[in-house]
Amino acid sequence: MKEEDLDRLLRSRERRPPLASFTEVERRLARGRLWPLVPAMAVVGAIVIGLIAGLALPDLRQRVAQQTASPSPATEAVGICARTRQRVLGMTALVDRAGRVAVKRMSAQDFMDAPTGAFPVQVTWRSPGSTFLCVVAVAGELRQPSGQVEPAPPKWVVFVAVAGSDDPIGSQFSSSGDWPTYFDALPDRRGEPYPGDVVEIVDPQTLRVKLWSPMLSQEFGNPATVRADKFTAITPSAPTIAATGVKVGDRVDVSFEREGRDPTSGAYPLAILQLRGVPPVAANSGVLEVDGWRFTVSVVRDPAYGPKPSAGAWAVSEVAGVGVRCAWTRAGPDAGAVVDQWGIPERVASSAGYSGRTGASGDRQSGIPEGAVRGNVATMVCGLRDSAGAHGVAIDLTIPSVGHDASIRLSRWSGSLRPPQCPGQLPQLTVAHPPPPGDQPGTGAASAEEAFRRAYPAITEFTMFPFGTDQPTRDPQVIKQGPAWIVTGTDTFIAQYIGPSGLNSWSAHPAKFVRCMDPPSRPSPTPTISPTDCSAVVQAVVPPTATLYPTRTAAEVTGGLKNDPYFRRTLEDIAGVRQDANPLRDAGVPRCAIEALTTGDPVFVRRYPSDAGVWYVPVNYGDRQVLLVTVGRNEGGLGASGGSIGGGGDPGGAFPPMIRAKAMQLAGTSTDAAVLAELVFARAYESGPERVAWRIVRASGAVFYVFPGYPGAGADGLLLPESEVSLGS
Amino acid sequence: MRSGSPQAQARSLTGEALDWRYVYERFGPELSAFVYRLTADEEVAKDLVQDTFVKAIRRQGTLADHTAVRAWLYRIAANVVMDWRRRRALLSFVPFIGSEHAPERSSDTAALVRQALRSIPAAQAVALILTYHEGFSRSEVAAMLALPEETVKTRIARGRKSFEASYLRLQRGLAG
Repeated sequence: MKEEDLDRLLRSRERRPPLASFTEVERRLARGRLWPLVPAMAVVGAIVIGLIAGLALPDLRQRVAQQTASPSPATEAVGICARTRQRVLGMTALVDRAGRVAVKRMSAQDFMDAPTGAFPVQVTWRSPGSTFLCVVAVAGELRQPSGQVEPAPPKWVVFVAVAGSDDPIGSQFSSSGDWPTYFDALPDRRGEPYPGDVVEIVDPQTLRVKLWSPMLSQEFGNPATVRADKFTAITPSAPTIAATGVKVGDRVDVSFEREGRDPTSGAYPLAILQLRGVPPVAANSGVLEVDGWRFTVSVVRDPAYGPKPSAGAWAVSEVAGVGVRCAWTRAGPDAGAVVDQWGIPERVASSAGYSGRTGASGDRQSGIPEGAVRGNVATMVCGLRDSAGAHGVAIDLTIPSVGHDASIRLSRWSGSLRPPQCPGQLPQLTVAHPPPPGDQPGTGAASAEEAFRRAYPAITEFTMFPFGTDQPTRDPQVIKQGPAWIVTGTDTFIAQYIGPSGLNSWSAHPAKFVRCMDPPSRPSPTPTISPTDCSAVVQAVVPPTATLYPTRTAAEVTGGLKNDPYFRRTLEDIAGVRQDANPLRDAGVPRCAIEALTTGDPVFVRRYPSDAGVWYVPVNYGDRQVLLVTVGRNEGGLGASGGSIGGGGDPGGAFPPMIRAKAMQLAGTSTDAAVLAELVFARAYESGPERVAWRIVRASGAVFYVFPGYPGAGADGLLLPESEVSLGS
Repeated sequence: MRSGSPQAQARSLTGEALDWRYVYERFGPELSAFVYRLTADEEVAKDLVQDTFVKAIRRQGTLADHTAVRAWLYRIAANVVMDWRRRRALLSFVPFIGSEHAPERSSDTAALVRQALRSIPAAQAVALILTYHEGFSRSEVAAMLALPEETVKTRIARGRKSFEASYLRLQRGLAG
């Protein structure tokens, strides 16, 4: 068909079918609203209320889905915010008459960066740059939300929702002014294509793209298959996608149609494809290929990084203004299941929930992790673990200073953990001890290696490092001064001796590196008992295996500890009964003064949802805490002293690190108060080290977690919804 | 003033509240043609135009600039039609619905155009009609549908291709 004929057909005038009378329209209006009330929004409480994504939302979504006619924009990916707009306007319980309505789409990062004043966002995003939000502002006749305290009715409201999912993040009602002035300053990215990474070039016109946005990935596939044709606007201009020189791992921005999906390939037709490529490697970047994986690491300078909780945990960094981006790609086929690895060499965490990761590529941006900084160098690990093992890079980042930019040096990392190095400082370890057998002079092993083999006969492959070096060796002559750091897979141990080295005094213990710390100041002891008096102290005889006793209640724990030989041994070490110098010796406690040591109230931390867990019991000298001992409780309600935290002048920290009342206050709201609180072991963001957290249950049943002392989170700790937390070991 | 002149329209539409009876009489017929072209069913078109106005009246507060009422009505109508097409696509899998009017079948060119438009993706059909039949510019269509202009451009281009193929197929079917 000729073009002009086609034009003529399309331009041909259509007849106008008869209209119904306007009275019929009025009749329909009178029959009721098109969109019924959305009663779930009545939960929106005070004048300024933040709703955590996902809270009560399934119900809301379900009701809205059931009660509203699905409005327009399912026809285009970029019109995703139109749906949010319709939902907001359908909230007839709150919006009587909308006088002015405006919608914008932006990344969560955009929103956080904008001067939104007191907007109550309580949500932290794992990938704020790739999480898209719809922001809807409505001015007009609005109803007061229940619980509103202002005398005047609100004149405007701003709703923020996750694009595509309609999960409300928060809302702000106000009677101040006629319009939210900050809204006008917000960026609007509705017309912009979505970013993603090329994971496969299927053919010259078809790509598989991992979209950065988890919501879009969920809807269109992870990765999404997109196809160009002659109508696709390709930048840089080229006849086909392949002709642009695009490579796997390149970043692209895409806009595509929902409709017209190819039934065979499942490819969506592309409207826009913009090739962004991989940024050139800068001086403060590095590239290293490891086992067929290409790692590109760069320094990210962004004021959002640092110890500030408002930016979210992704931005928590030991170095203010500095983060690291680590991207990896695989040249071959998708490796299937891989697990993201990130952390410091001594403590690498598997963060399977990290969003920017597939079996073929990964891209994460993180702050400098806790414990990475030693002097002016931060050392961390970025990698992945597949069925063949761990592959990755150890990143040595020279911390930028005035006049000097950051620099990066990459080296191969294959999953082996390196011993902690703390020049000028001491490594703080969490050691589980005493580990029978062999923790008494003369009953242990003759060397570090023998002690480890004896304690863990099932582990045959391990690497030993004399403490303070990263040169592996098992030579007893080299390790004779102890202790030795032992690495096997992702587990780490320490071997040390009690009494003279070599006289069957070596024992091995599970040990995890925590951080480097300054040597504790040693208060000058004022011994009231001479060393010779220790001869009068009857030392505990520690059996090779622990005898469990009831530890279901605090009283049982306190009672059981009195006869617990392991606990008694701990007290002896604090008081220097056997040796004045030992890791637990507290110089402020008179030598041999065991009876002067008392225990405080045990506090239980549950391994939710089981009944098992750990009791933390402070050991005090006078009104000063000396350390914390831990007492296990298995599911049968039995346990024994299993280790200690602190020692050597380190009191082990206050426990619990935040009082219950404050945790409940932080996690509750005026309309949905916290009703239950208990301490549990949990991981924030499903990754990282396990921490002690308050598990809070609100009156509505919603569950939140407060992580006291979370790095960079400030005095209020880190508040996370249940969906962002993983439990269990 | 109820003149059909653009000036009169602007004056009458910039008041405090819209005279909806006037707006209905003024724009209803052309919206009816627009919807009819997309649905190829008179009864459905009549029904959907009413839907369009009910929705518009309900949301009149969201119209910041009353002079833009025509484009705004087209936007609502386009969404109403696309919703209807989606629902209809779902219903077509359910037997014995019975209440749907059978689409027209005619050798008339206009009917073929309607049938061809109805058989291509709704988003493409809307872009084609708004551009060629209603005379909106590409940028106006983009603003109306909250889309990048490039997307509208590709929809029009793909729509032309789809429309041509569909039209020729229908034509051959009738001839055969």
